[in-house]
Amino acid sequence: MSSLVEIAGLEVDLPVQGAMRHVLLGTSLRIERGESVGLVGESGSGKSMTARSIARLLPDGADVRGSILFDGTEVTTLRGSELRAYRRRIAMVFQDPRAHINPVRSIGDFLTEELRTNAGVPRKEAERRAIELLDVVGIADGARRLKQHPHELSGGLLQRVMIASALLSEPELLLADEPTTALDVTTQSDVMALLDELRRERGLAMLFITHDLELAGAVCDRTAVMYAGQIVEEQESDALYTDPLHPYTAALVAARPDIESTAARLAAIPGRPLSAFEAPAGCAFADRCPFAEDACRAERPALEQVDAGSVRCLRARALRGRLHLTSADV
Amino acid sequence: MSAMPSTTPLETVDREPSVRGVPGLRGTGIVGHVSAVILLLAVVIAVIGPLIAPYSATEISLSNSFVGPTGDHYLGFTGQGADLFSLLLLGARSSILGPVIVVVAAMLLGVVVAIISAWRGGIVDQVLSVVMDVLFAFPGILLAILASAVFGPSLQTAAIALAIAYSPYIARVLRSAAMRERSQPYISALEVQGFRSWLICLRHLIPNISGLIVAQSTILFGYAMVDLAAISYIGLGVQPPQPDWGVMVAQGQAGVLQGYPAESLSAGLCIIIVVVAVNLLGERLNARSEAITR
Repeated sequence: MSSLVEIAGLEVDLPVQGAMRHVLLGTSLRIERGESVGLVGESGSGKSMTARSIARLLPDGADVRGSILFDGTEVTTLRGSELRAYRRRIAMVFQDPRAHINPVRSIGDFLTEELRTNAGVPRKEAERRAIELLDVVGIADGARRLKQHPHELSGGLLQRVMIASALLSEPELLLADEPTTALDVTTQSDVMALLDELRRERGLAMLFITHDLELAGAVCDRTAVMYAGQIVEEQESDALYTDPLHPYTAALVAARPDIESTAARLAAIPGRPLSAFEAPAGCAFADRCPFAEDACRAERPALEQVDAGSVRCLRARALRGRLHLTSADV
Repeated sequence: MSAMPSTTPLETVDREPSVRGVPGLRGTGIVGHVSAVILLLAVVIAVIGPLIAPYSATEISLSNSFVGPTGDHYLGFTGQGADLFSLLLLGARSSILGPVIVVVAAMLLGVVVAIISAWRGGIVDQVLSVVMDVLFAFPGILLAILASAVFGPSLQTAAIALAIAYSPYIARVLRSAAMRERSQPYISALEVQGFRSWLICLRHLIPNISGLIVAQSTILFGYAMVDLAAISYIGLGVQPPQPDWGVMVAQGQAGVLQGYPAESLSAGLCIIIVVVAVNLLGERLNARSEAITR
């Protein structure tokens, strides 16, 4: 059986002030059924754009090349009722739940609208299921919550409502776009644990977008690292720490704050992150890479298979095992 | 990461209920409320006018021409000898029904055009905008005169013509509001849920700009009433002897010259009171919906 999602050579250009700018430069990614895949990267690296491409939520005028297969169906060209049918098989949890729920409708309306409209479930039954799921996501007095409006709930509560809504439609793929970024730290870990548990119970595939490497490692089977609109490395989450394949990943791992470290300053990667449209002809990371050679700047490396993972680095094989950096090396 | 704490105490933020999209009178102040009461009264008279009017519009006796107020005839008689007070009550119906037709029709047209423009964007939006700009060039009254020349003078003809002439004003204002709402993240979230576009518009987008729709309707009502009265005045709207305030202003002209201005003045006053009330209310509603959007 084919993978649930198979993205191949996805390139996206967006119109910015009249000119087309590259946002994604040949992203390739695979998500199996029931698997959770992390997508990690700095702001502007194209993580959200990848998720939005899958959900077909790109802004008007976006130019999309390459392919996204969902369960064997090409997604990028879907229209009308086929697009709607496809969208019912996916669900998205957004970063800011408050902005993504109609502020003037009640929580009950929000949760039951899809069931009632798309599945023809009667209101009573839809409400019963909504209350059930609210209980599952840790909201006890569901019947009362259904009557409340979004502004009456805190951010953490609202994100739980959002997760409940995503699960109500029984999707096959969950796109979680930084679902905990807008929440405070304690709520963050609760919501994350909840999302992880519910996903595993239901055998749901998930694309989890975050800039938190450790969070991705904790909840994702595999993790992909994005830089300047490309996926530079992708492998098992655990191996990412112990055996990074790409110098960028290694530098990210080294730059993590460590609770046991007594260093006065955190390690940082020299230079600044590039956006996709600024990417040079060669390797986008070359200018910040301590291992870069002339060849790195000459041509853009392809995504190559190395053991169980894949990496976009010319010197990956040569550097294998030498990349586990300490902060002193960077 | 810890195990899922299933019964964390979760707090509720208590805030004033939102007034956004509620087409009530909250926040319109004393002026808004008084205006609303006057309008309500006008509508009640329009509905039950024929029931409470002491005399009919066709009970005419030329011997009573321009006779002043008497015990049974509170405002006296018109130049044709009809009871002026009854005529005002009877005239309320067509004078208020006309603008209502204009507002409803112009709103339907305007909302549909605005939503299609905002939702589809691109070439559709550009074409619709050009069509609206062309319509802008026609003064409402001119279009109404044209329509009565083609279809024969009547209240309906004049009202529909005015509605078409006014719809670009509505469409332009609502289009920008609809575009702002269209770009809200919650609309994308609904799209990902696989809803049909027109359902999203009908259930979410239009209700969320309803405050502005109501405000624009009231302002339009005032314009429509004055224009319709003007059209009736020049004889292309309501046809006498059907009672109408605009017609009364026209028919009372002769009386004004002879020193009996009661008919023209009283009908004109009725128009002014309703128009001022509706404009004040519309202004307040508009200011409120702008304040809430911000």
